[in-house]
Amino acid sequence: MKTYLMNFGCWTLFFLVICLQACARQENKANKVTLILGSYTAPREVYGKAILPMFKDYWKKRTGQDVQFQTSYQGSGAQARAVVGGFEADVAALALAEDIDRIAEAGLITHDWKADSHGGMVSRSIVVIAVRRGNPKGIRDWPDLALPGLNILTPDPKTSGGAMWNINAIYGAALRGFAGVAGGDAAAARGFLKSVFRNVSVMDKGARESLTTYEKGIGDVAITYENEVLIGRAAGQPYEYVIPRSTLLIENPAAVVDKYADKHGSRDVAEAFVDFLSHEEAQRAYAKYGLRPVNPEVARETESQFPPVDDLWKIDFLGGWKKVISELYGPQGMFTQVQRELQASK
Amino acid sequence: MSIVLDRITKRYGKQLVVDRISLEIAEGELFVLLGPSGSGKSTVLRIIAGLTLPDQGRVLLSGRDVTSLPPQRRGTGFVFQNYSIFRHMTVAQNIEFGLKIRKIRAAERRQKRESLLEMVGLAGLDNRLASQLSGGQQQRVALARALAYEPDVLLLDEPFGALDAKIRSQLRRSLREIQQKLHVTAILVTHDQEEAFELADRIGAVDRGRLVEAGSCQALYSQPRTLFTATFLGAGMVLVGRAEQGRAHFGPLSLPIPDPVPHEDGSRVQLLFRPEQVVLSQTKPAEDTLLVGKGTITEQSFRGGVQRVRLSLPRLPATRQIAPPVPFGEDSLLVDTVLPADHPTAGKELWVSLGGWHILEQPRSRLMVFDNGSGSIVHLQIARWLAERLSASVTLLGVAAEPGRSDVLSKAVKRRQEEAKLLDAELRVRSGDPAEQTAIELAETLYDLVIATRVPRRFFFHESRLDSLGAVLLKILEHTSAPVLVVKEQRAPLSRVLICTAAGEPGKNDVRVGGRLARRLGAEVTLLHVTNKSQDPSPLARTHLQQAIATLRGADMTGNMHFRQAATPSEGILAEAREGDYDVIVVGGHAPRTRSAFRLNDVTRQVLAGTGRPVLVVPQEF
Amino acid sequence: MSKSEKASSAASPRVRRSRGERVLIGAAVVYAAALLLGPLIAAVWGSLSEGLAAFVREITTRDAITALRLTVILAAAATAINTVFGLCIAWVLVRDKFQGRRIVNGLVDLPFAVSPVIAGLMLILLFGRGGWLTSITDSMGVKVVFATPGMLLATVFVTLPFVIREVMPVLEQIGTAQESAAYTLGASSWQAFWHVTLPSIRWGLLYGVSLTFARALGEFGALLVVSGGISGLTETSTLFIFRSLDDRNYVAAYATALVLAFLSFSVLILMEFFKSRR
Repeated sequence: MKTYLMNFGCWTLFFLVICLQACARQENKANKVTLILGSYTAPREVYGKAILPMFKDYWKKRTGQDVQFQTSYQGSGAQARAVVGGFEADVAALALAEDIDRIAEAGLITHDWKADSHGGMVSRSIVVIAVRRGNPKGIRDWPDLALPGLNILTPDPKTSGGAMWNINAIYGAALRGFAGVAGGDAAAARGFLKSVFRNVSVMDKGARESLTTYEKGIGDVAITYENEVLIGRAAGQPYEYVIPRSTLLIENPAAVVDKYADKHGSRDVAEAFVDFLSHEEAQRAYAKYGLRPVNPEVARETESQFPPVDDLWKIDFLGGWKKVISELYGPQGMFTQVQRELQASK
Repeated sequence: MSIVLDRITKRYGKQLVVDRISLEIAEGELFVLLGPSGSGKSTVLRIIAGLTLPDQGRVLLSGRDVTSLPPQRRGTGFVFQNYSIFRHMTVAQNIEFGLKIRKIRAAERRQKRESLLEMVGLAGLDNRLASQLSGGQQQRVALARALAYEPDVLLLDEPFGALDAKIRSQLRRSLREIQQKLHVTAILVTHDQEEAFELADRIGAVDRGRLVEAGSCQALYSQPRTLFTATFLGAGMVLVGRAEQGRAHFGPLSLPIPDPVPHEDGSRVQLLFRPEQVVLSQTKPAEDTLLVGKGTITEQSFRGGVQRVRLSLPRLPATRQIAPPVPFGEDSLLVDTVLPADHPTAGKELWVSLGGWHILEQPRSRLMVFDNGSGSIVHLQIARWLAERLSASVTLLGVAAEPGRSDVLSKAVKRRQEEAKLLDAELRVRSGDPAEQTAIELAETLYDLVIATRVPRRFFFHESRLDSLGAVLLKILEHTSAPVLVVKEQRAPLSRVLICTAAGEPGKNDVRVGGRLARRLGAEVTLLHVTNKSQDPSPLARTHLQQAIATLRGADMTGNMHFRQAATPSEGILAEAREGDYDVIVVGGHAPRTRSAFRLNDVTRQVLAGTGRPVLVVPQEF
Repeated sequence: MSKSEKASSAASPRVRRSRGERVLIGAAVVYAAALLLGPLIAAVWGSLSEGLAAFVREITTRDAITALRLTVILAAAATAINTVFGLCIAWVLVRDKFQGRRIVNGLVDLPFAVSPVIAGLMLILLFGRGGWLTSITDSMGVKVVFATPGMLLATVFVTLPFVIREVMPVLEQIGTAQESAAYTLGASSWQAFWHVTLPSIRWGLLYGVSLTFARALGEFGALLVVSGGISGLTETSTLFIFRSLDDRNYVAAYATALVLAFLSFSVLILMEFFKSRR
């Protein structure tokens, strides 16, 4: 009986500890401030190992305050949903503008986040094609992806917002005449997209997952982002990548989430942080980890790392995110239909 | 008075488990509640302990009304039927449990425990784990545990039921010793009459929730008042004869009826004599002995120092034997008695006479008549007629659709009662669904015969498929173990009875019950068996009817048998009834409470629908 | 089997198996081993693939340790809650035949029927921004989703049935006789429960408790949805493993998986140890 009492006591104690820990509020004291960052998965290392420590030093020097970061890394769409659902991030740094817009539409971001010098963006990347070492299939540009018998990996736009970049890139490049079909011809571009996707075997739920699947030996090529490939290569992965002649510029935004920053009383720090992201230090850090900087100075410095693209265009070419999402990925969207057709013909 | 029970009643759902039991038990008395399984005696015990709350009634312990007190505060000790000792504790911990709860100090506890262990014969086993003990030992521990804190009352619920015979008798002796030594009031519940005799200061006989009789062992054994007590408490012979001017007649045997048990002229009399009161002699006894007859030994069984023998005698005229039950097809009188073990028995003819006897209370039949306040009063008239001939008490049951209408119904029924001159009947009016309420009434009170009439269809808004008979009738047939007489037209006197019987066990019951009624009515009996057209009756059927005739003879009746061929049984029965102009048709019904879609078998249903003559439906015995 | 074989197997105490039986048994053992040992071996292999030093380093990183601590605390707390409330629910369901008992009994199995992810979403619906109960929790200053209370609730929900389902049959089986005896001996309801009922059901209870703890250690889906994955704060070991795979930190992933497996395994061993001591 004594053991039971002891057990019971121990459990109750644990329970109390939990309750206390859980009920503790975030308090911002004079010399300590907490900043909650909601980010997407790819820049985990650059934030964790470089930018956040840099900012801590910077802020300490500037104000004498200690900054404590609480960071969450999830898929960009999932993170946006979490913030909308109640995850009280002070700053949101996501993979595409649309996700920040979603948070803004929920009323959590009340300022015009695109109003700074870089349109609210802090880093960039481009859509590239990862190939095996030595490029055995001889992939040189988009048209090669339509070759029959090729096994292509790319993430699923239904589960990954970032996956839309890839498809947009193919479609846009085709429209612009860089895919071996007549430019400006929507039907032809559609046809090209379809022929590429005929070769797609596996669609993972996110860009990272897609690449790790590729690393496991599945697929001949993977459509992915430059920064992902660079991170992989830095980790020792043996693949190479091909930059198509025409490709889509991926821009990653960051913004203060007004509602929560105000609620936590951490607005100053939050704004400073977002601003810091476009400082040279931070931009160099981005470059070091494979992301193209937005700061023109740093961009010049790191030119050698990031080869120029012949035809680099933005999402505006396709009409902006809202248009793209509804026209391509909606229930009656072009891509949705293409997928359906491909399914039916299997 | 140490324990007083005042009209304790308990129902489980519709089932009346304890029916207005009142008892007084003196201090230091060991009272035994004796009855068959399911008679509610364990429930009474649990009510006294406080483990169950009664629906009505009070429990007083040493003058205190404890009815609403929880078991913890009643100060009773309880020994359960199946070992309820705490298996994860040692013997010592078990016994000291009650003391520990009462915060008695350890030294005192130990003292008590040791003396109790000594008393129950388990000294030294203090540290044995309860789960390691044998059955008998566990019950001793249970006893010691219950006595540890010196309760005023000790309650035992069939404590020795699961033990083998030798241990049982040891424990009984121990219990008696301890109870007397401690002078603690005790109530023991058992179905074993031997145990009751061995332990009881007084016995209470319980049958289906009712306390039938209470008294000392001697009184209940040799002078029981009721048939139940007489047959439950020991072996015996019960004969039924007729009372005439203060004397009971059993054929040539005539006995004076003692004053304590008055009988009406012409009523039935029940005689009890025990095996030890039977006198056997090789030569014819003197004139003034109570001679039963001359019989031969048909069975014997060795019982150690004695042998039990059964003799078969020619039956006494105008007498029926209830106990021991006579096998179907026999018409002799059976007498059980004991002889010394070495007494030779082969083939001898012996004279049987009575060395002692006892007359039970006048048996009263209970009739229930269902009346809805309108329509013909034939059933009331027949009820009156029957009540006179059977010396039965009559209960009239009426069910009003709503409580508000009870008065109206009551008046209507009373009026009809007067019209039918059924004056002595008790009127009970209930309200609700007629079928429901009738079922409840039948579950609560035991009736020997139920009389109902065909109820006009328009009275019920809710009809079942088979309904030229009405939902009430069906419900009655489902819920009672008493035979139901369905009356449609006036008919009196009832002097010709047709018993329709199929071969097999149910058929035997139809014969017995039908025969009983016919006997009471003094009617002629015809046995009918219907076979398929162009088929001769099977040998089985023939044997069955022959046995039936013999059984009737044994009940002092004559009967004729009749075979008939017809396309269906019901056709045959209806044809026979018409041709022979019978007054009552006896058919078997299904067992009550079967769940088949056809609650009555087809034959019965068709017969009920096809004739206006009174039909007696005999329920299947369970 | 031939007559002689039959005779000999009847005579000798050891069973002589036919070739067919042996093959079948062998196949069954291999199958079970592959299914159960395979992952375990893979985990060991993976965690030691870069050497012991790497293994030790990865499981002692700050994130790994905080994740493990959070996992154990959540599991312990959820187990405690479910033990207490589970006992109450089991008691009421068995001893008290109340109206709607069947419905409640069915609801107890709900966590089995429902995917843990749905449990997480349900919590967000209740406590997320604009959730039905958020105004209440906000006024109390308590953050439920994307914080520890939400994770605790998710874990409690997912492990709800174990204690109840293990205790109920035992309660049925021991019957009310011992408890009734205790009442007549003067024990209050609580005393009877503590001294009589609880010791009688302790093995069922312990088993239920171990199952609850083991399950809680491994919870993933609901926590993924509800936690927000704040590393160092709302990241449990399972979420840490998931994240490590993403980061291509295979050693960390396998190492943590091994630690979790070891924890669950030791709980099981402890339970068997208790069982054997009775």
